[in-house]
Amino acid sequence: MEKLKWILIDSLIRLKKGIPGRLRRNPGYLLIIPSMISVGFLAAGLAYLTSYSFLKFHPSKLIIYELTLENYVKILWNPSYLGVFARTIWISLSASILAVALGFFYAYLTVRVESPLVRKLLLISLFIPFFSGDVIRVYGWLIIFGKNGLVSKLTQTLIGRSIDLIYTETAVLVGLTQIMIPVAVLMTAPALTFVKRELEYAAQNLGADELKTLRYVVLPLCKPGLIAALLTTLTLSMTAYAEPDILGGGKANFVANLMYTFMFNAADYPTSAALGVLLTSIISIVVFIFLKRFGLGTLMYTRRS
Amino acid sequence: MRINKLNLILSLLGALNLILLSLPTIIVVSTSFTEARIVSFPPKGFTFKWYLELFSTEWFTKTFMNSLYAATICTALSIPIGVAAALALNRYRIKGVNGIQIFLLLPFTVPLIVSGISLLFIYVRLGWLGSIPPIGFALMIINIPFMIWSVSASVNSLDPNLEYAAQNLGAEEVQTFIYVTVPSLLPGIISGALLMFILGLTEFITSMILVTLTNMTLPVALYNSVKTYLTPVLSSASTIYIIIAVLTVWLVDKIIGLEEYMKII
Repeated sequence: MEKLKWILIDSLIRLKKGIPGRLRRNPGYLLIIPSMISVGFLAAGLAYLTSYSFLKFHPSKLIIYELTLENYVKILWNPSYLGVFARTIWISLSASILAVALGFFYAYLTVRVESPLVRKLLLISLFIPFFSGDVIRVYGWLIIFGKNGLVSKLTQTLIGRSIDLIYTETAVLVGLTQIMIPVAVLMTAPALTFVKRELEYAAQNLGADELKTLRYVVLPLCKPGLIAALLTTLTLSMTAYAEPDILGGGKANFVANLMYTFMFNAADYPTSAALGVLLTSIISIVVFIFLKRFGLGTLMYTRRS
Repeated sequence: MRINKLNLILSLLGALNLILLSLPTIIVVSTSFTEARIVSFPPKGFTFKWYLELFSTEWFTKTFMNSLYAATICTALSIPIGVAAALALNRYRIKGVNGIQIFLLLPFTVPLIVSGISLLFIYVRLGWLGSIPPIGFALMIINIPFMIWSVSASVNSLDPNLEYAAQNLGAEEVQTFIYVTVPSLLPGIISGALLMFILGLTEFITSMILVTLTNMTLPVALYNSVKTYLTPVLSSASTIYIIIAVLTVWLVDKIIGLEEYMKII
């Protein structure tokens, strides 16, 4: 065993010696290659997708290799497709703001609560839904909002008539918000732990009540975390597929659902690709604006110490 | 805690959060024990028959094994690739590092459905459809930012003097890496790997686009069933996922501590 270990280390050293001198002294370029190649697959695919978006669709021949902008024109001049973009943006914005607001208080409570038992309960309730994945949670909401579900039975007994939320934008919003809360908590919590307890005591010594302390001391100090949380939940929500599909039942489609329909139901790859390019562009613009405006260190890999 | 306005607000919001977060889980688990033939809440009676049915159906055992296999490949690939990238970005001077970072953030900024369709174009060309390793590879690509973030945090908190000390004492660079660097990065590697595994196990949008009948993963199979017809068997399959989530929470708490984990990822 010991011998085997040495053989292994020796061969690794020999392997290292085979690397040209400059790369050996600064192996950074070598180390970055595997991840660049992996993400390169995605980038190459994106290039394909983009090129498809400029090709012509034909109902029976499917694709005609002829450059055109008609897929984009078709999307941008059709009010119902534009409506899908508008819905995607406004439900995502509402869900992310709600999730960050709720998530901030959850993170604050988790970091500050004195009882270890309550903290554990809060952490467990946060991680179980986070680890069980989207499909299971969307399925749970389907049972809650569905016909004869929890909501319709509750409203039946409370106000005498049942309210069915399934296949409404409200159902999508609630489902999406719940899925984003753990993300929001996880992004704000690190910022919160940097806010020293003493600062809050100092503010209170100077006469601020707890709410004022929160408003004028804690909130400004976790602004970077809150902004990172808002950006992440917003971009993730804008790409949602399962929530609008299952909880919206085709009545509250997002761009992702439209893409899927064009791709797999109509075999209209060019339009699907154009929708993908537009969605990716909108998200990139959102990320770019956030980066310009707030200089987002939290998303970068190098500044997360 | 004293009773004051803030505590009252915090408690109320905390309760609302707890209900929102836990309700779907509770509903799913409870409906898996119903005696009724349809999924209904509150459940009627108590039975294990749906679990028996679940374990005897081929689609569940097969897709579950496929998912475990794909998630394992995703995790196994992500560890060396993520560690190398985190070291390269945080330790060494690289020209155009900002551009590289933005490039490596692509999986995070590109919508999952777009990633799925983009990779489908490539996979069709390469003839990679129908087997599981390419699915694991795709899952690794779309989630690799989480691994790099997680390891980067460890790289940044590693004191380079430890490595110098080892080399002063005569350790070769390779030995230093194996005996000093890797063990110091272990917390980041473990928390990243756990996240990669669980994300790989539960991901479904990209998988839905890439899988065929032969390499179907469990989330995709579950999703298709949720879309077609609801039976309590689905609740029992979902409960298996929730049990895995509970086990992961327990494991994270044992190895890293939940509070620490909340700050890392």
